[in-house]
Amino acid sequence: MTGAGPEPEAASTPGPLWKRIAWMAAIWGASVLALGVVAGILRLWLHA
Amino acid sequence: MDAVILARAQFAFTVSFHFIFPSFSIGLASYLFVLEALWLKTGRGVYANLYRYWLKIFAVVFGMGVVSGLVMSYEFGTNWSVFSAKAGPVVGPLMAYEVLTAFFLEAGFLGVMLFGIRKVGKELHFLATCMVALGTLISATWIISVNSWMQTPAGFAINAKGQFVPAGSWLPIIFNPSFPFRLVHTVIASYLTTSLAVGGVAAYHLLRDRTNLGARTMFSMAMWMAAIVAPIQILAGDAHGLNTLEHQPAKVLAMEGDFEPSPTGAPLVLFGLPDDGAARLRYAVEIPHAGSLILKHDPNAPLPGLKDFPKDRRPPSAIVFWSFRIMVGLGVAMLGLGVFSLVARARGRLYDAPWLHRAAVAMGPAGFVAVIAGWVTTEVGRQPYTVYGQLLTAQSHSPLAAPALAASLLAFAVVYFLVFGAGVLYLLRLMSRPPAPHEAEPAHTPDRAAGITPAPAVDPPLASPAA
Repeated sequence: MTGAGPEPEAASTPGPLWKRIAWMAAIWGASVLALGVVAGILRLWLHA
Repeated sequence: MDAVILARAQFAFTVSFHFIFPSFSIGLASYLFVLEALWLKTGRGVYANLYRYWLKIFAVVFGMGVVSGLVMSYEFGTNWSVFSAKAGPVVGPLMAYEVLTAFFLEAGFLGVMLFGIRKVGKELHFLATCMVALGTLISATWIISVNSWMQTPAGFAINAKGQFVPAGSWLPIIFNPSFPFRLVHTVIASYLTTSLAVGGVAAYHLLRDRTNLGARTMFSMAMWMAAIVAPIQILAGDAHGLNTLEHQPAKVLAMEGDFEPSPTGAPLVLFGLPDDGAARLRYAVEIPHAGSLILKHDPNAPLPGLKDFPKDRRPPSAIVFWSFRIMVGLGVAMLGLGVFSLVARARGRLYDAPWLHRAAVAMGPAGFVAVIAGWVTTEVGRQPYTVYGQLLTAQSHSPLAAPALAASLLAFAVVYFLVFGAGVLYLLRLMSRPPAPHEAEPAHTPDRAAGITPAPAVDPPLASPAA
């Protein structure tokens, strides 16, 4: 099977906690931002 | 055709199409949570494999749910502007909370679920899965609260502009009389729908290869879920029905096909042909007194009839009558599948029972049909109101033009079947691929070297892992 998800390598090299939390915050922020950009474009389109 | 009927048909079409996806994603998010928790607890690779198998499907389902949900926001403005203006101060904030939850919990942490495992490690990744599962449940809570308020409005006042506004606290609005019953019934329905879909996919692969460990594991999990949750759902539905009888009696009478009052106990109508024009049920097949026994827990308890309500305050009974029977009939079939699986499991033949697997494949889509039938029952049964007892549907719509509505309904139908048809075909393609039985074991298991031993070495192919 391919695709995202738990990978064998991931658990063996987790890295320091602060770095992992920073990555989590960054990915979370990027995901919300991506959705926000789509919503913003829709809003601009509706107000045009 | 009447423009209001077309507007209602358009909303019914878009919301029915939409709810297929959340009803799956609510259940799948919790299923992913369980799979990852089991992987972390046991270290068995089969759970990680199944997690990966269903994660991609979940992402597609979630995306289609978001896109199909957007359309309804526009319909509130274009077709139902009077409803939006009048009920907006109550329903608007609750729907905004749902959107915020979807943004910050579901969509945000879905990114971590999909792309974060190599960066955040397994514990934080599991936290993200928990947040997404929690987010789907919180989203469901807000949406069901809005819908329940429209069914059993409470805690509101009417201001000088004729708008519904909170009469002090928001708590009576959020926790309106039908809210807990609807929330429980809807969330359980999502879990049941998901278990049947997962079970159907697993059974499809078991019919081709009954040694497939992933298929066996998810089939076992799905059948446990169906066997346990189907009877609970029947009890939850009964409680919901009693609540509806208390607050929306005309809806229950339409569901039961009771046009005439029953002063000495109502029958349970199994089948019949409701005739709204003549206000009678033709060719009724009924069990005397059983209706009162179910609805009042007393065979001789009196029940009113639809004729006790003014003709223009009755829901269209034929749709409600039949959609209710479709939902209940499928619910009984789900219970039957659960019992069938328990018998097969007790005989040690859960993975070696082709008829059970064929039945599970046939029942795979049943949850979606039952969920839509249930929503049709409750929404059509609320008619002729948008806000029950307070705001008529006939007073809720925008100035509408039938040709424009007919054209947009046709456009919706074409676009939906093209776009979402392609999406559903892609999902079916993903599901038609069997879970790989020889996926490498995730590396964190403490008893051996990381990532070397293949999963089958610790999960014998013919074991019954979740039995």
